Amino acid sequence: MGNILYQLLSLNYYLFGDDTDDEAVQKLVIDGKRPQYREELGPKPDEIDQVFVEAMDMCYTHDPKERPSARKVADFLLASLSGIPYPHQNVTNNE
Amino acid sequence: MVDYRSARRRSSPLSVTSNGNTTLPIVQKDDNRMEDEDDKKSAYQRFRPFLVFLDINRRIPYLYLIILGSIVMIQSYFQFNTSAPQTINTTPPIQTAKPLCVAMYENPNLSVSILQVYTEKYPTKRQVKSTSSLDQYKAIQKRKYHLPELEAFITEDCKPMHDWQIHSFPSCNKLHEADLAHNIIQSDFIRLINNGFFRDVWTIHDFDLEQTPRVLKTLRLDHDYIDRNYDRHRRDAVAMERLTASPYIVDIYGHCGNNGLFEYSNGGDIDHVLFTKYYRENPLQKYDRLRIAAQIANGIADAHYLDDKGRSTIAHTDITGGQFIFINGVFKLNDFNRARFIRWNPTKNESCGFKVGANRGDVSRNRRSCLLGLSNWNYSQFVSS
Repeated sequence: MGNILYQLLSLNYYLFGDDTDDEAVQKLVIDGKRPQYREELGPKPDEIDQVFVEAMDMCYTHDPKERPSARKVADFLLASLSGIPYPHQNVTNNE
Repeated sequence: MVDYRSARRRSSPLSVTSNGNTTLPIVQKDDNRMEDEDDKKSAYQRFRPFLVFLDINRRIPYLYLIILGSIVMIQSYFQFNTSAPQTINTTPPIQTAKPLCVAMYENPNLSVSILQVYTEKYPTKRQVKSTSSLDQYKAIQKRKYHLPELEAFITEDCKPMHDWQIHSFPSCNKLHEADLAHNIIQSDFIRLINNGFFRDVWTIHDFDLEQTPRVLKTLRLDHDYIDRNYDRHRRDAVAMERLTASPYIVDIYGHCGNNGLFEYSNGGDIDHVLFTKYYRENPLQKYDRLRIAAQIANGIADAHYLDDKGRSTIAHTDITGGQFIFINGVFKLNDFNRARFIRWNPTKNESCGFKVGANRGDVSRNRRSCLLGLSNWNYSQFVSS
């Protein structure tokens, strides 16, 4: 799920660039490497970016025993969605 | 009459004697004989090596050698056959009953034509770069892609958590009522729209009076009708049937053998919404993407929280963007055919683990020799997932 969230946020298909092999990616993830989403967002992430980053942190927790369940991530996303007002067309034209 | 052709052929001019008798016939005969002998001689010289070989007298030593060699070979063959320990197959051979090819009626005169939609008209949509076929073959060998046999679900340590995990709920009548004898290329009732590695995807408008479109998924002809594949379809159907209550998971309407009937989507999947050319140029709003994220999380959470809190019974094991399809405003989780049902270990009081083989990716295989029933693997179009 974290990977899809990363794709949704960054619009990159590949986690570590398109050069890396499937097996190499598997090794990287097992070793604890994660896509650099915080660095890619820049210094000033907006409200929605923050939500994405927190959800991805939950999904990308390395220890499976500490990793929160999908229900927790879903509840968190729904709760934060209700907190964010729906952006009007005029506001998000610059995006 | 004078044969001018033979006259021209001979170098000497015609000689006619004074008493009127021509000496031509005699001379002609001699000349002809001489010519024939010359021809024979030249032919003999030309083919001399072969004629020498054909000569029985000269070949006798070779004949001895050949006969001796063949006797030795025959003896060794029989010796090998008799001395080799006879292996007895303790496991029965896998029954792979499947149709050799699919035919369809093309016109009212009932002329049957072989369905070639697999190869020419509907190649697989997911095609990535392909290198040489030998490299791909080696890659397959190297990565140990093999069809794992169906493991026993109930073992000494691990027991199923619920009854439905080991049951099947087929509704074959529903599927058998569907009329599939349409022209698949032109008909509005049934159409082949897509295919994955494992199954073909058809749309059918035939299942109710309102003609709402449904999706029929059938095992591809390249795969065998073995227990493993039956169980994959059973798991797919049972999981989706259990999760019907969830609005974030695709509904199922029927299941029989290696087929399933599902909700129809015409909105594409998440990969489509993010990575196609149109959406790359006009990306979705960030707020909408967050909504999609919430839908995904809810779909996975519903699958994991089916029965008891904290005890997941289903693992999808194939979560990608392509598995969430857009139906009625929601991206719904699809394709549970790789799913695993999670078992419980009563002694350790924890859930049992499971193994998932490497995803093979999409391999499109041509069936040009459909009539002969040979399944040709076309490794040149191997696609890494």
